[in-house]
Amino acid sequence: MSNNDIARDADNQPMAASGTAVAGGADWKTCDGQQLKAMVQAGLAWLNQHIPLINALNVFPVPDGDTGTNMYLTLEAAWQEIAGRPERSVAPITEALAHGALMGARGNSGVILSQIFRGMAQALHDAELLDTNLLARALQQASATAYKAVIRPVEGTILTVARRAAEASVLAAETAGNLREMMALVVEAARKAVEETPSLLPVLAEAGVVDAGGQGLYVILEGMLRYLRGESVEAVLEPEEEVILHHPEGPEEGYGYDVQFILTGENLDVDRIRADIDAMGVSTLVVGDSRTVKVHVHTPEPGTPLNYAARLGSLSKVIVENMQEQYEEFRGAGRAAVPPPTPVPFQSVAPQPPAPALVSDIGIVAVVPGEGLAKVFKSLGTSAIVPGGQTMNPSTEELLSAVESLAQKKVIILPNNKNVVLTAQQAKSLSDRDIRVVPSTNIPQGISALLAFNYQSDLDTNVELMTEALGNIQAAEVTRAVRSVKINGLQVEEGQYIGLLNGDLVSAGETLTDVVLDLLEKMGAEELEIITLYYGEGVSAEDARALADLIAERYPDQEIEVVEGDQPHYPYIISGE
Amino acid sequence: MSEREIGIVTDSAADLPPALAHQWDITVIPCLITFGSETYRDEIELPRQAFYQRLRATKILPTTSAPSVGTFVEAYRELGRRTRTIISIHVASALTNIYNVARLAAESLPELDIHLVDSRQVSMCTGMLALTAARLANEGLSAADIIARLQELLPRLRLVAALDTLEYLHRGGRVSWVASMLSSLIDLKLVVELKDASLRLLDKVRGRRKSLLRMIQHVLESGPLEQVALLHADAAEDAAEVRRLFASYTPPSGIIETEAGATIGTHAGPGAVGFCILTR
Repeated sequence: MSNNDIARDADNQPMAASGTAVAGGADWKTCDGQQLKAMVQAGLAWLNQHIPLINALNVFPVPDGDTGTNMYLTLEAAWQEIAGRPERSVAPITEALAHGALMGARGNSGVILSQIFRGMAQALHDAELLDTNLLARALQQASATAYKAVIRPVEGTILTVARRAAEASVLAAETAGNLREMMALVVEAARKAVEETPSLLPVLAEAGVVDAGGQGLYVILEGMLRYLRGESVEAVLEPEEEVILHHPEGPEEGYGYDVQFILTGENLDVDRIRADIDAMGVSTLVVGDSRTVKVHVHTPEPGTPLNYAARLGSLSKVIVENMQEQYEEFRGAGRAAVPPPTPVPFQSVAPQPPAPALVSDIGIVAVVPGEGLAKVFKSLGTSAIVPGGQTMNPSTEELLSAVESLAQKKVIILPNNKNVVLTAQQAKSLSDRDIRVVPSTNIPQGISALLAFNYQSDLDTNVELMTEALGNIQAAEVTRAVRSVKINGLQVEEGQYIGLLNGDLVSAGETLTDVVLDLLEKMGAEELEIITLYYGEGVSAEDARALADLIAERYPDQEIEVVEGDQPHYPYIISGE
Repeated sequence: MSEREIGIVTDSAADLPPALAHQWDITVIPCLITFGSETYRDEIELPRQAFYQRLRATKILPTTSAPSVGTFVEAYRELGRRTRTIISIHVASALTNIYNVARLAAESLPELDIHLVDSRQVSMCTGMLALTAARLANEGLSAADIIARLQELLPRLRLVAALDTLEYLHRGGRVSWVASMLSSLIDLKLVVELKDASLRLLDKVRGRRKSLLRMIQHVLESGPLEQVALLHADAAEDAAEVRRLFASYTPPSGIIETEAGATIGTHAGPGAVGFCILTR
């Protein structure tokens, strides 16, 4: 959307903007739904510029749980929901924005962001125009709703930033003469709150970072402010992350289809894929890692990117939308309503020989990275696998479609990652099925919970048994540090192997063997009965066997089991019980 | 040997220790075990130790079958020389056709008063019914009264076992859900329960010791124990460990220890340890 469009909108809606304002120094006292859309779009673009920066703010230098990517994909989903909406009124736009964020929420920060939008939508449910007073009310409601999204709110996170922004907005609404001045005060409060996060959350101080989710929220608000100031949000900080924005007015000339999918494979070259896909269309978005890549492109030939990607790996969540049709529908061009795009039902990562299922009226959905682990979970009776966790955190919608793909009305979700637990809880609140979340935060816990499942027991009993089982297992994970850091009194150098025990970084070393043996010692392996090695990226079956032999020598009384996990990023996931 | 007026019969799938069977004058009809083309009478022609040696060595799973009608007729006639009234107590009719064969034999002997009892159980759960029947008969109760008492006991019987392998249960083909457990890519130990002639999965755990502990826990959670038997399928060491762990929970009646015979052993597989219990 160009500045001229805003000016035109303003002309059409005299109340919307004061005087001859154009975006770029706009001093609107109010804004309408379409102008709000433009601000969101700017926030999205600005966030996009900062993805790598935000991703780098992980407390533990582990290569997953990317907050920047999660928040971007969440906001992107929200944007997709409003991009084609023609309403002038603010209420339906914020309503759609909240819905899009809710469905697209990924990771804890994404879920909280979606609750922020939900709060705003509630406060603006009958608003025609947004003014400074309404904005203050919306930000306060946003903060309150966000705090309610988590069971134990922690200060020094995105929640603090949302609250400080809301607090600042009260005074700002009184002193600011227009929305731009008000947003400037709000953004400044958010910036200060981000800076203070390390003093509120010691783990951040120790890692020498600010809170990633808080930074993400600040960046979004800043992007919106930049729009009001007429500043560019396209400044390319990271050339490889360049994204051409979607145009809300309608499809580009000749680009008739909106194509989205997730590609899973091995050794995927994200930069190469981005370049190739970009050559096939416009509005390219390619994010991900060597195992999972999310692709989004507008193209006249939807088959081209699909064929291209199918050669590189397997596709899931394929969505192809005819933008021309949608555009015409939105314009009210007298066409029959186009049904919403039907997402392809979520597939497990690999076809499985169907295990004769136990007869149960309870289905189990598990979020699992890697084909090997997916097979293990399937073999233990998981009804549907949502790939991801350590690579890409699944969205609320992905979890929901996995739930909806089941015949059972009662469903238990195993998130298997602490950054998926909130998303799973959000999915629960959005489904009419009886969903329960057993909050497993790693793969061994997920397996322990699965084993506790009894197909002859009822839902409540199973949830109780499975939740109890989470505490009956020790989980160790080995990966490589993505940056140098000193944490838990441990000096970690980038590229070193690091070991997490039950979620805490406790070990670092030059070789996998050193770190694994150290983890086992810290785990108290001599007291255990079974040690299971799930080997993943970069480890061959022979490597794993050799390590198991070494462990068996050191722990002769323990049973050592080696299982192919195929999980990305983590050469070993180890369970002790 | 008592001079009571009621004869008590059971089958070898009841796993009654031979000494107890002798002491209580209970006639045990041997089931048949077939390895390939060779058929043996349980225990009589194939002692337990020899059976488990073959079971562990063989690639072909042995099959178990009910004794012939003729075997029952012979046994009933033999008893009939001493007493007209016989109570014949057998393992679950839903799981084997032993009961049905006994019924056919009984129908062919209208001159005798044979009462059949379907224990809806196996192994020492059935065995405990036979022992109870013998005790009540010794006390002089009528057949009708004894059977009424046995009927009261049926719902209080429970078998809880920790299996070392699922292979035998699966190959035995009697339990459909086992197949889904076999596909597990990690090693699982199952704790199962037989109650009212159906086998249920109680727990699936990692590790042998954990499965034995879970089994004990399930037994203790069953309620106050009146009679307890501990049996094993060629797993004397584990059974001894279980007995040690269970020692302080032993009921006043003590614990009957026994080794699973070929019929139960073929289906549970070597290494299984189990409790047969009668709750109060």
